[in-house]
Amino acid sequence: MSKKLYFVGAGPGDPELITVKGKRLLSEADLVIYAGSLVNPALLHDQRPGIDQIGRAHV
Amino acid sequence: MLIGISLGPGDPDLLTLKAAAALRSCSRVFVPGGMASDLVRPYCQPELLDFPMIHDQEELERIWKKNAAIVAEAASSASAAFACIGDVNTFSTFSHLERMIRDNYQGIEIQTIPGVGVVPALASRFPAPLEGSFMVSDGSPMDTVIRIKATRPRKLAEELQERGFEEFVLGRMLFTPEEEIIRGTLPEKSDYFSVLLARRRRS
Repeated sequence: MSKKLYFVGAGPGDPELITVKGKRLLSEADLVIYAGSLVNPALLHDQRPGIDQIGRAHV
Repeated sequence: MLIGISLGPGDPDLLTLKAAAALRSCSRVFVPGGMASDLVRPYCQPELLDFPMIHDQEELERIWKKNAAIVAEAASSASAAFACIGDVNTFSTFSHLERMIRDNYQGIEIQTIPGVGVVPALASRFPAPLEGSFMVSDGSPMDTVIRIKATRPRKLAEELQERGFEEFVLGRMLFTPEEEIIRGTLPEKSDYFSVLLARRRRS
């Protein structure tokens, strides 16, 4: 995956309600930017090690 | 127990993790058509129930009753699932089946797993970001209003009551550990994550 930007719908709050595709993109991405006040942090647990996460409180 | 499982618009990648897990764990999975059947097959061996598009009302009623009996029988002894394309609570075959089972078979717990319905699917593919209010219709009379960011739920409900709406439900932080669902007397204030559902009385 190079030079691609995905906007991923994370679902309503239950981390199991993300789609298969959304979960895979989060685990493969080089950088994940997320709204810290909105997205369940459990979704970011199995990213590749050393990957940047930027939690934005007010995206 | 019966679980209504949403399969999303058709891309196998657009099932939710929860849907996939439920399809794996349910002892019987029913589907209403070939497209749903293909989507669930990586996870289970589905049983196809025929819901034909016919105009003979008597025959249609007979088929629905037969299908409801099959699903209810499976759900009364073990975990059964009914899996549909789209979202299982939005213009879905499941809602009618669910009503028939609730009305005719007691003691079956029913849950649903939400999924990618027609609205998020088209918004993504067209693409058409929906930033203002919009209406979704199948041509039937409009009987439901959903108000997001319902920070003043009591006042909103009063305004909608004047327009003929009678049944109100307020939800906060749905599907999170802080979830709250309030019926009856609504609070004056609520936060940004609040949604209000208003319905006209069903005849």
